[in-house]
Amino acid sequence: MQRREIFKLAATASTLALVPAISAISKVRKENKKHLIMVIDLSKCNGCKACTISCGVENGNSAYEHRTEVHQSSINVSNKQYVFNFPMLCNQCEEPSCVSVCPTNATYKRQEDGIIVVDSKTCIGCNYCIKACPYEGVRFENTQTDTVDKCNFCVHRTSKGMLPACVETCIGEAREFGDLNDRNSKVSKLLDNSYPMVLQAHVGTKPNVFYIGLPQDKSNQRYSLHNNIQWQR
Amino acid sequence: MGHEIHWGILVALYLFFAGAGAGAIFVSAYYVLDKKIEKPNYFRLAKYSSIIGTAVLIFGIAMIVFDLTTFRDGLSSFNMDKLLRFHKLFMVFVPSSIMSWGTWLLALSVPFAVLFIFSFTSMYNLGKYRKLLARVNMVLAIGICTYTAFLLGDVMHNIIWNNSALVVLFMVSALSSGVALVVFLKVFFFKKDDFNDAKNFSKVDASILTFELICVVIFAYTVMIISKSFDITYIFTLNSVVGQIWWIGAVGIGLLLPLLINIYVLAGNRKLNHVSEYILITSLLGGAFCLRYSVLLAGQMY
Repeated sequence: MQRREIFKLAATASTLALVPAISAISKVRKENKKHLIMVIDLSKCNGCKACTISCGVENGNSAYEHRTEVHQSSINVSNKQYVFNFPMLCNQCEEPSCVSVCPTNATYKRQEDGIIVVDSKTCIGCNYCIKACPYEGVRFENTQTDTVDKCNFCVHRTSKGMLPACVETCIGEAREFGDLNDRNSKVSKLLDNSYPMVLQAHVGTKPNVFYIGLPQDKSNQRYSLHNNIQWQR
Repeated sequence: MGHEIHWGILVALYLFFAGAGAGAIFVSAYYVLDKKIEKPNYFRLAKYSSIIGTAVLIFGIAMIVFDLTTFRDGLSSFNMDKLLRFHKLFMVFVPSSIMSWGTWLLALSVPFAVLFIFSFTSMYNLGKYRKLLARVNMVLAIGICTYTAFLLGDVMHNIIWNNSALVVLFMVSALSSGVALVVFLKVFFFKKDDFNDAKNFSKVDASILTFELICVVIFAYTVMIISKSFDITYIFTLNSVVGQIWWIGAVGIGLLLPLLINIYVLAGNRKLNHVSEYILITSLLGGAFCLRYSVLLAGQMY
């Protein structure tokens, strides 16, 4: 069985869980304005971690302060276990819990493209957003600014029409980035022609990072960006 | 899952001191509204309670400011921008943020608590507003006692913190620790014969502790049920550090021990000696701290 077929099989079995992902997509499309999203095709991720490294270099992260990471997980298909690579980052949620709890409005959603950013000049470092986010580890205390930091889709690049560093360097083209409301964009076409999943759809934050090939039971699990990674090579 | 503890002992101290301070202010306001202060000793006790309550409340607020990463970094690097960054909390009101509500609640509470202290003195001629200030402070004190639970409860996805029983539990615990502070004042500043309400106090304290014990059981039980339904390990077991702080610290030392002391007083119509009174005070305050610390850790480690 081909790797791609395994993921298709696993994803097809989880059609019921597509509803939250589809409802999030249709809600964004009704807005009819630029809305940047990321689509990750798990069947194409080879776990090279170029995304993690390029992100660190691009954003000047200190060691162990990652905005994105790649984990390994496994699925059972026809009583056989398959390992897959699983990139994680801030989900840039449509209804983000981090924005509503921030007492200084340091964390906010950009109206022009829907990206969630943290203003390091306004953040006081109370860490309430870290606690409020259901996706553990995507936010961290930046030791250079002493404020909360996270992935912002490389807003300094994307606002100039460039790709985020992780997408630019993804050698398997597993990560795609673009405007959901541009029906001709690659991400839009990918979502239209596949079975997109989001992480922990039940918490209701409506993520804007979509996964292709992620089984329902895996999507409902709690993950941490800081899990100890035991790689199977 | 990796367990990240971002809110540690400083936040637990904040939750504890803010609650205990508000509890002491509540008791002081109660003495005013119940006209107990017509007796000179109660007047002094109400005055001292408002002073210690306000001081403890301010100390609690200092703990949460010290927990801010920008404040700590500003302090260590003498960076005034970071040191005073917390002023941004007072530049905006964010209705969707419970922390913003709490900020303004505390910002209102401290000046009103200070005015309440002045109402017991001849300064600024505030004595005539004492009852009004007592009412205002009572409302604000209940707000602070419950706010800390709402702060945790607003983390919607957290199955430990997002529990309505926590609001009642934190409020009762805060009042109980406020009463402990008032008892400390009684023991420390007054003679044994100044008050003849030892039995009444034990009755009130035993009632609060019994109610708190019921709340503790309800909370622990709901966490157990939720843990089963989410197929996760029950956090409040004696095998875990959190469970030990909860069952030994919060329940054993903080609830059962003082409850037994109060029953001992009530059953035999006995009076406590100084050592027993200090044990009662320490166990009540220590238990209230353990309660908050264990809940705080549990929500981050489950």
